[in-house]
Amino acid sequence: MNTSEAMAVVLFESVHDSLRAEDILERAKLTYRAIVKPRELGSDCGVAIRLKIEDIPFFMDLVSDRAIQVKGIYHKVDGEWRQMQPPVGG
Amino acid sequence: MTLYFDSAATSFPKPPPVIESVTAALSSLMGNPFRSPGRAVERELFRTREAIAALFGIRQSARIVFTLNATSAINLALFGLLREGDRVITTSMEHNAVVRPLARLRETRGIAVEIVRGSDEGFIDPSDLARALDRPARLIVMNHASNVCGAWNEIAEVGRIAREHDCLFMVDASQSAGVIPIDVERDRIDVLACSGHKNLLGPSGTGICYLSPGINIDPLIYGGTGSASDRETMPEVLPERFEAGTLNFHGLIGLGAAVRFILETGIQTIFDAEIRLAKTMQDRLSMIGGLEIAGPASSGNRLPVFPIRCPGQDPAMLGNLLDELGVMTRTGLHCAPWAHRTIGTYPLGAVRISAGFLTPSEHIEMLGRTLESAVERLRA
Repeated sequence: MNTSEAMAVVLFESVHDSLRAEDILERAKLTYRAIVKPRELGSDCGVAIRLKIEDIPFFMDLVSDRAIQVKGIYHKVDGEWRQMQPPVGG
Repeated sequence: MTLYFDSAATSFPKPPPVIESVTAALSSLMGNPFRSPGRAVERELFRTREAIAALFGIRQSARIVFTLNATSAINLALFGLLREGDRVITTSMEHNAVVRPLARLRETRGIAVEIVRGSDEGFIDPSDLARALDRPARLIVMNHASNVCGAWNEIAEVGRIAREHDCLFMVDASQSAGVIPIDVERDRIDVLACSGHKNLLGPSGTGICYLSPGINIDPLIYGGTGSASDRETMPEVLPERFEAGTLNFHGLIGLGAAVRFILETGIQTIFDAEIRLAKTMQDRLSMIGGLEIAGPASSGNRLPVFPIRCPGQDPAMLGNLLDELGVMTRTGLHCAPWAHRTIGTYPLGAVRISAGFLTPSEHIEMLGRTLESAVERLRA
């Protein structure tokens, strides 16, 4: 697994939810980066958050407490995007 | 030296953090929210939304839509909510920001508008609104506090009545937001519209429209949002559904600083100070012979907003004289002819003296003396 494959990309139902997630990540002192959504994951100019795969369970706990709608979590396996987490929240 | 007594038009001075945050945004914050790489601007706007949510007890800050001002917020809600044949209840104390959209909707969509008359002092009796709900209505829309005379109403009681009758409740909080505690849950407010530059102490060109969960309306403005760009339709999600076009983000960052200033000071502290200020001003103005004060007879449910006149004279004469003497006020009908009719100051209007939380206390006595001298000159 190369470095990029150790990272996950989280998509959100809304820009606002991604900002709420960032706020939570900041408070939890998790390392993350807001990125432009990879083209293969949608063509709608959305913003996504990239963070370490190992932080995903903790991140999901944090966002589900706040009813943030996650559209999906993806990671790359052999150069292909795979969904590792179905949509949650609401 | 100029004495500023036009706070009901816009607050002055602004708190230092507002000036600092806007200056910092203009000088060092790069990018266009939702359209440029990096997220610094978006995060600042998020902070503003969260601060506003905290001030008004709003659970989902995404349902706070940024607008240019209260007028655009009110237009968004009224044109979105009201359909052909709807019945809407409003009051005789409304600003033209409500009056004119309703008139247009009456003309174009055939809505029925019932106007509940306020008292001579400018108050709305909730039982009159309850009576108007004997027949079903889609919406009650009213202001929380009058921009003409400062009279403010207990909106929680109206919210309760509206909910009991399955009627939506929309509040124009342009004069009260930032000085009177508002809680959209407690007060059962479905739509809250207000400007950012009045008692919220932010820059002009800012306003908000809160739409409670369950309010699903069409946008009034269509265009780019920086999201869902592959579609020709507006996004369904809030707030971007209603925020097409680049926001006044410098102003909104300033609004965030202003609302945080209010939260740090404490809305109850500000409210108490405002009521004291209204009493001090009412007492001082009442000492001036030959001056008539319209609106509430006592300072209880009154913000420091006073329409004054010299009986038998055109208020413009007093307004112009005060201007010459270095006192900034606003003369005329204050975009609220209905309200002036209600309190008996139509058609000439009045000179409106209004102050706010950051009005220097020593200016009240200076105003009193200047007014005494002005009235004396006009009577001579």
